[in-house]
Amino acid sequence: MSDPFFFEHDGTRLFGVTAAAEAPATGTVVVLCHPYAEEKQLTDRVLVRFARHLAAAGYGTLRFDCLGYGESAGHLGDGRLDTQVSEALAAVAVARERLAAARVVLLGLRLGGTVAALAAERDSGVAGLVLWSPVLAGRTYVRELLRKKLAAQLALQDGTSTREELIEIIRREGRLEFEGGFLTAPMFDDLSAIDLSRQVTRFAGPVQVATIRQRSENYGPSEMLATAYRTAGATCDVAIAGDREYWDVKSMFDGVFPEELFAASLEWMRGHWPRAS
Amino acid sequence: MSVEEVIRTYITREIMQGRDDRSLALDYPLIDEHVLDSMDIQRLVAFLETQFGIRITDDFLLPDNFASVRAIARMVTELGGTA
Repeated sequence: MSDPFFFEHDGTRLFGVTAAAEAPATGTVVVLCHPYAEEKQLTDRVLVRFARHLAAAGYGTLRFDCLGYGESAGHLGDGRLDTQVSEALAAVAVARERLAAARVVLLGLRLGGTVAALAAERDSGVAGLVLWSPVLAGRTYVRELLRKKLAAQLALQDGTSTREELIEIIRREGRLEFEGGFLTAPMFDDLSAIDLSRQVTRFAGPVQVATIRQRSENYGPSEMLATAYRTAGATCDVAIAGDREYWDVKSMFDGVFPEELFAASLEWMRGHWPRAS
Repeated sequence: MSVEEVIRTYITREIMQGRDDRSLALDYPLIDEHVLDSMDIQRLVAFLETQFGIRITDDFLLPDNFASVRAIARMVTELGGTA
């Protein structure tokens, strides 16, 4: 049973949805962190569906919208990476209170995975992490974002700016119209600076890093993150599940869900936080 | 199949969802007629890179290079792609 509500964080009204675990419960609540910009909209149903799987398996869940998304206050351009991290931590606190959680696990998809990982660095009370295709390298990620903008510009015949000119617009005007909102210069810098394997130094709980199958079979970046976690004292498993980017438009319209990933993460969760017998 | 035919087949089957590929003329204006949206372009670029073993940098994301099947094929050939 889903229970929508609002909570305040740092003067901002944020929207959340909790779902109680079906009995017998595990005492574990999963807080789900959504991706950035359009990917958030495209993966809403992915996270809703997995939250339902989790509830059926005995895990409470809390999904929430960051500042500027969904029912929450503000605009996309208002937020920064650090804002999202602090909102994830606020959501963890809300989950503990509202669902009387014995432990809270953070799960994040794409940039939400990065946010979850950075939040766990700050809150030693987070019991575990599930990171689905997190953004590992900011420079690669912003290159992807700008490529999307270039493709949109091309399709809509809306200018012929080069990548360098788009960056110049961000610097000169402080923001760039992007996927119905604005990519601001501070957020652009925040995203560019992501180097997750170097930023992970403290979290020592169980971690699952999940990635989709690559044609090149190059999982080096995910393995690097896993190594960083192990160095910090965590146990970290890399799961390779699915072979299709489930955060794009086609997947959404085709109703494609990453069921192989769902199964892998559920099995991993059960292994760490099983139902009470 | 020629480079043009490979591209035409991909666009017809994957983007136009199966319309008879013979109906897509090589010079049909893909951008002007809104056959390609931004996501289609990204997927098409990924397909071209894999299929032809080329690298399409951001500098090539220009209207002239995606105006038609023939224009895309010309770009692919210039980048060293062969059927």
